[in-house]
Amino acid sequence: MHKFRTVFRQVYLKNLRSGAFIWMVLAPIVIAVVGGLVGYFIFKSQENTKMAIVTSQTELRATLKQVKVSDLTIKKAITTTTAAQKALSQEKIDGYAEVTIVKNNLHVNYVSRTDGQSLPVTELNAQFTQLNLQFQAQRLKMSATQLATLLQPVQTKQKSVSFKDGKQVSRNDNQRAVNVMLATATAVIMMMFIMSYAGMIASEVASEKGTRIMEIILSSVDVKTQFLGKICGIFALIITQLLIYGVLFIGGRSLVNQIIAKQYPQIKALLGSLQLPSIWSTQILMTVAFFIVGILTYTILAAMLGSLVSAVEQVQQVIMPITLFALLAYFIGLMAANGTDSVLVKTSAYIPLIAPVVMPVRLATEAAGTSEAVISLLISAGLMVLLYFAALALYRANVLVYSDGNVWQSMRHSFNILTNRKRKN
Amino acid sequence: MLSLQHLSKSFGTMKAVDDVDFELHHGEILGLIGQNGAGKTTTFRMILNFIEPDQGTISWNDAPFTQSKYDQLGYLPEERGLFPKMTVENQIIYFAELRGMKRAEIRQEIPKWLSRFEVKAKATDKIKDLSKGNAQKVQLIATLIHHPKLVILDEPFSGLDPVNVSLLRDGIMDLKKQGAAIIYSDHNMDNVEQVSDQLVMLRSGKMVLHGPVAEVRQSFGRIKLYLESALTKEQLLAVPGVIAVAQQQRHFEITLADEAVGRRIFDLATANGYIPEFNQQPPTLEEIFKLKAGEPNA
Repeated sequence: MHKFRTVFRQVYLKNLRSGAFIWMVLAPIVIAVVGGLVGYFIFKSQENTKMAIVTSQTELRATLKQVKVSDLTIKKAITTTTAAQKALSQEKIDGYAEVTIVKNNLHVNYVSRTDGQSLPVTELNAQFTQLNLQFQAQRLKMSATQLATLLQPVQTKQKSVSFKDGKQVSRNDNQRAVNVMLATATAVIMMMFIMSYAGMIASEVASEKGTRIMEIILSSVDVKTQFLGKICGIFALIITQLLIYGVLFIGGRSLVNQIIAKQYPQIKALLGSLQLPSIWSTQILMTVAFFIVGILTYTILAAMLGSLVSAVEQVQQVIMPITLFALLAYFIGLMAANGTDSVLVKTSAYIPLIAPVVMPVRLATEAAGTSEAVISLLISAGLMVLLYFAALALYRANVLVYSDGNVWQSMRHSFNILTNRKRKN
Repeated sequence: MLSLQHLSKSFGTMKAVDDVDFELHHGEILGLIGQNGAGKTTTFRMILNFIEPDQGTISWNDAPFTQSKYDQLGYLPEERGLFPKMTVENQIIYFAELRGMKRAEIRQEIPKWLSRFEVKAKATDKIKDLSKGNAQKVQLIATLIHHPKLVILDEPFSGLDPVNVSLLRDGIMDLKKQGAAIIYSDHNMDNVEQVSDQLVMLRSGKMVLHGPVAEVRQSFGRIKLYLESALTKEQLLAVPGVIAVAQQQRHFEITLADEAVGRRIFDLATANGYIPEFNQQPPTLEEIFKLKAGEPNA
């Protein structure tokens, strides 16, 4: 136990302090913060379109003051065509509407600068049409009730639905967009972490082997303890990383709720309308479980492959097969994120090594339910355990075999050692 | 006691170790010599349990050498390896902890060892900032700090300057005094001669020499003669039984077919009385090594 603890602590602390781990923890945060800031500044820098509504008929002025379109500033001070033209030439406004009455009907003439922001003509037209109705009602001396009936818009309702665990769940379009976003992020983050952790352990093993430190270690501690110590060290790193995110998520959420939402009520309204998964939701828990199983499976494989090479420079070459596997999982994950529900996507959600990326995506897009996820998770976890024992056997045979030849030769050599050992035992 | 009995190991068609058989007692030092590829490292690896022998057995204190005895072992591999980014202290702590030592105990020991081996570095320096010699000493400390009972050193002197060689030699002698059984390989026969109680020479995996150093030398007889006299090279070569004569100014280094030829040369050289040098010796270990390495395989 003392030796297991020593190996475990060494792997954990060495990597915890490494630049690679710190970057791995920070990368998603940095990307999110940079993305958020860019979005925020784009949002901030987009000023409202400015326009003026002018008329030569003074009796219309009061009515025209009712015009109101979101994201549009109407300069009430400009009332005459001359003033509007002057303001337009000085780029104080992007355009103006000149309203006149021609044959008892409102007539609107839009003038806008080609280099200015475009006027929201559709929204304005709708408003002017309504004003025209009001104007006609007044002219025809209609009662208020008649007017109200006349102005009554068509009653419409819109609803998008999705199905979760066989039950219909209401969703709006924003929710769908958020799901796709979450699902894509899940695939991207999974891929990133799998590659980082796989690279980390493979380099660790290869460098210990390449520098012959492995010989000293394996003359001090049995190979099973060392292998398990390494895998557990990496597992502890994953948990550390998740804990950091957990703390940031909870802290960040209260920050959003308390500060940002107060200043920007529209964000609060948007967030309120969406169903973001809460931290203890089945979806998050299942994703975390897949995250752990996925990374550990790839880590075990990477440790085994890392033990094949004789120098750390060969690591990238040797982990190529799992890189390709992870990439395959990633692309199928992206397909699933974009709503593809083909046989390929459905099947691969159960195939170990691919499932840890694809299934959480399908959970996020609500294409798969909890029970399906649990089955897939059990399959993946089962394979992980089998792989652990297979990897340990190969690792034991590999770590002290130095070969100048390529990886396949090393692998063959290791297999020979392994079968010899088996025969003898 | 370490005992290797009829140990053999092949890799494919190549016989790396062939019937190696020797014993090493506590408080004894065994020098394992042989050319590169003679089977020294393979022998070490079999003792260390890294590879299994095809035939033969290895025992330590009359029981198989298993993982439970790893804490009694100190092993210095041929190619040295340390974590470049670790500090000297952490590196030693890591290796010593793997040998079952407690952290506090190791911390206490480190300064003593650093000063004993004259390591010119602080405990907090990173390994990558050390000179090659200092790094090698740190590795040695990590090998010996837990006072191992069985010490395996694969070419411990290679790359060390003469001052460090004598430091290491002293270190090995201390371990011997403490009762450790020490087995090491070396290419420098002077070291082997000065340090070892017994030696084993391997050639193509086979033991070609075995025994206490002095006995091994004596077994070749006093066939080396160092002479300074009035005799000329031609006169010496004319003596039956003289195989070769090398001349350095007035000194001759003569190789004899057998010990008895020496007496004949002594009579010739001292015919006119006093001579400054007549020194008849067994061949040096280095000469024996070259002789044995050059022999055709039996």
